[in-house]
Amino acid sequence: MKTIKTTLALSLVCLLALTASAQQARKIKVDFKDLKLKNGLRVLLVEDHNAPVITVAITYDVGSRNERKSRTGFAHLFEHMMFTGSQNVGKNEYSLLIDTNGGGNNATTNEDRTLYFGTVPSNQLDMLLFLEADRMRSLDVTQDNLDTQRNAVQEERRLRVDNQPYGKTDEKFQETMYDNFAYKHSVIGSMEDLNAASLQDVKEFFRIYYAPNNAALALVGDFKPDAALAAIKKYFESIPSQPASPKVDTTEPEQTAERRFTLEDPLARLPQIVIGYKGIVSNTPDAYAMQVLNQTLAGGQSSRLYQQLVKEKELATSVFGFVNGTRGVGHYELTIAVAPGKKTGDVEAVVNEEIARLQREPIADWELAKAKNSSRRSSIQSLQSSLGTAIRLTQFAVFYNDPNLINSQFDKLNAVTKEDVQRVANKYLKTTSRTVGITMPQAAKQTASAAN
Amino acid sequence: MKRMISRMSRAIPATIVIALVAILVTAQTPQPPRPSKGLVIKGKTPVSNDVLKVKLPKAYETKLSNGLQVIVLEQHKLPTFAMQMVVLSGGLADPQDHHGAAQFTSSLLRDGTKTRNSKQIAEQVDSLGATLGANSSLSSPTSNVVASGLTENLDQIMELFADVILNPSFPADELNKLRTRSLAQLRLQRAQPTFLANEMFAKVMYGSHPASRVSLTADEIQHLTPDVLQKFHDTNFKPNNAIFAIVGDVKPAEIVAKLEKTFGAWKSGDVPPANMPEVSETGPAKIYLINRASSVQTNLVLGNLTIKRADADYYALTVMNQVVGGGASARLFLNLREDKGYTYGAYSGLSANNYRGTFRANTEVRTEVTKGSMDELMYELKRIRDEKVAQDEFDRAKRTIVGSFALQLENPQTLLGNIITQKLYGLPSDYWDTFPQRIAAITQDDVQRVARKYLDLGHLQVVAVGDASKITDVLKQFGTVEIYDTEGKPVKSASGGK
Repeated sequence: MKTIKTTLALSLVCLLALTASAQQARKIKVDFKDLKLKNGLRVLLVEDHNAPVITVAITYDVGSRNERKSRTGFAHLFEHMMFTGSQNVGKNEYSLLIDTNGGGNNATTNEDRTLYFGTVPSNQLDMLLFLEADRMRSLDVTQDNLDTQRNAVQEERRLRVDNQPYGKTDEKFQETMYDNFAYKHSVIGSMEDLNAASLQDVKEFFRIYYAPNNAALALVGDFKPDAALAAIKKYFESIPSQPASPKVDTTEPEQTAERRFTLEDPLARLPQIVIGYKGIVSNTPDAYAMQVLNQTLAGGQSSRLYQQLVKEKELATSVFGFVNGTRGVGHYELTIAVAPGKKTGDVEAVVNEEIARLQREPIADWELAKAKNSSRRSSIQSLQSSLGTAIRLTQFAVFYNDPNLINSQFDKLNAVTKEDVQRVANKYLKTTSRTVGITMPQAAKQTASAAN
Repeated sequence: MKRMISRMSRAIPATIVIALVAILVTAQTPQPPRPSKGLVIKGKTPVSNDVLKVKLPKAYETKLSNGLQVIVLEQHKLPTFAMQMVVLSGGLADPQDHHGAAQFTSSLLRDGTKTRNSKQIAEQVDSLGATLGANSSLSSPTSNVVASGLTENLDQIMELFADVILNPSFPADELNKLRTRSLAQLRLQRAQPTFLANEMFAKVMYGSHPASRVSLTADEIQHLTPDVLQKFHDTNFKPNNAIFAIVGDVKPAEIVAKLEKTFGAWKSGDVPPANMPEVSETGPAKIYLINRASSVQTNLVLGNLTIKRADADYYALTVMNQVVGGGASARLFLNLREDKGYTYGAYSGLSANNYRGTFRANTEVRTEVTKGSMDELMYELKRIRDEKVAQDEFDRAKRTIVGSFALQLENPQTLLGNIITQKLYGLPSDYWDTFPQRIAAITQDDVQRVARKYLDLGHLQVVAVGDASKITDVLKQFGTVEIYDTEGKPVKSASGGK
């Protein structure tokens, strides 16, 4: 990345192959500018005049992994506070202005980052930049607003976790699999810790993590580059930088034995199995090979587990697999809904058998082609909206210091061979690095307690 | 990312989607802010007063000689496409004695044709990195087959798409497996409070009308045979009863040529009209409580019957909905969440079909504040009836609706959806061209008139899903309460039933 002032070239370039015929593959490249303001704010710009729309996304380098013990859930609670007003913007005025001008906005928190984004018609560029800059510069917090947002977040926890079948499984799974606190606790946090969050916590967190040098901003869409860059500088460059935020220790001790738990869930009606294999570091050749492996094992109706568990043996009603690529030590995860009357042990036996097969023999040609084609399609499709492009650019910048992953990520997956898949199957899918969580329905005492 | 959580549960879609040259709501100078704990307007942000003029691409439309309507919307930004076959018969066309025929027909389309079995179809679709699916529901007027992929694979995907539409074989063993999965699904969905709320709401809104059916019963599932599905398919899947629509990196002439090749031999024929009784009025206001013993929240849904999609009141109701609960800047959200802290979200929604739709407000609140939440929901429903909406709030709501045109340009599938909506509900061909003007013409009196007309509190139906041992007495303060279990059966109890 570099600090430049040159004019920004046209950007979302569609390179037509020289011999292009109607149905030949077209290469898509995102042409972005990558610069840094004097205060350390990284700025990524992509001009795209396909629609009269712009998106501003800001990824702050802070997530639940930065939380301290006894303050779980705080990064996300803080995210809510970013909508409650700043020096020049009233409570909820941010959303009101964006909505009223035909735009959309939201924010989201996970272990690794907190992301804010707004999309508006392109004549409202100044408005959006002003709104984002004002809250980065001068968040205005009150006890009253903190209490209201704490309530909203606790309802969010009830909605997604405490009142949902299988809702507590994820949390328990994370706590069982990980040893390092950074990834051992849930993003939503515990009710107790949410209750303990204070106004002082909010102020400290803002100072440490919501600094321009701890964030990346992407502007994507229909703008004039010189004017847009000038506006970004006008609104953001005078926000003072802060000392670098404390580094997160993401080391995870080597797991030496399988871990298991069984959860009785009064809201669940059928058993569910979650199986995880720990140890995968994202954006490495191994992680891309694991993605191909996942497509083979659990991607779509043609996948081995869907065919075996759902269609052939009818032991399960659904199979879902994904490579959870955190910035720390990630894992591969399978979630399987067990069919009525079937045994979880039988399901596990099929999974083990299919994993052994991946370890024993190379995958088929068509399975490799499937993984590559679906990855290529989804990476192209993710560029449909300015929002998708903006989000990916800022995350790649913050996570890997490599926004160009937006262009190169598919090539990395495309380099995976059948041998790679067999190798990572043997390297990562070991019993000793496995965590298995089984959720069983707990007999309900429904009618007995009705209305008295 | 599986575990990511957000500020709001959904990026709120505008209830309406518009196409074509927009504009017309003039920006207002900000009025003095209304005192509210949920919203503070400082008015210092630079805002452009213009609503952007938006010019949308016209779709190419034609008809094949067999009657198949064709819509092609070009969008060349990416080398991709998405297409659908909208068959104009869905669950509403189910035979009286075979509920679920449309749903199961769609669900089984991918599971076997004359020349391919289920596994071959899955492998061929996935190998191309494509998607292919089909769906219909019990209350749907259509069955939809959808496919998408890279343009370089268009021919192969089109061939698979046509094969499942034209030549499905409904294998008996695949039907058995689908039945088994569907029976499991019946159990799983009863664990979801939102399913329970939606099921009961549809039942109390629609009584014996087909739209009252949200889910099949186990018995109905057992009654569906390969013959029933084949017959539903052969009766309804006709080119003169379908719309083909595609958006993406394609050219109309090329698409028409491909369609002639793949669908040209598809035979037209008479399709019997769906049985569409009128929707009867609901009973008087009542509260339906579903006892979900382990609930830590109460899910609340309140609503009334409204209008058909083509009704002239659609515009005024759209503005009303925007004011009441159309997003994070609307009254329900600002009141129940941002002022009271009762909930993670509170919204309203307007539905309208070729039968009467509903207006509904919904929220999920911790059990202890069920009463406070009901108070506020009732307050907001009364308020939109009793008080004229303030000028600034009213202007913002209209501006929100009209302003959202620009963002739709980023989503060509939404634009295509607009065209299909216009055709499905028999709306005038300039419907979307004139939509912004129609919204702009709505007055505060119009909103109050439709609020009084449709938010009939004497017929307001309330559905609550929660722990009956804690909320029965609370709910009784708001009206007559009937209690049900999570299977949908009435619960008799010594003290609770009165």
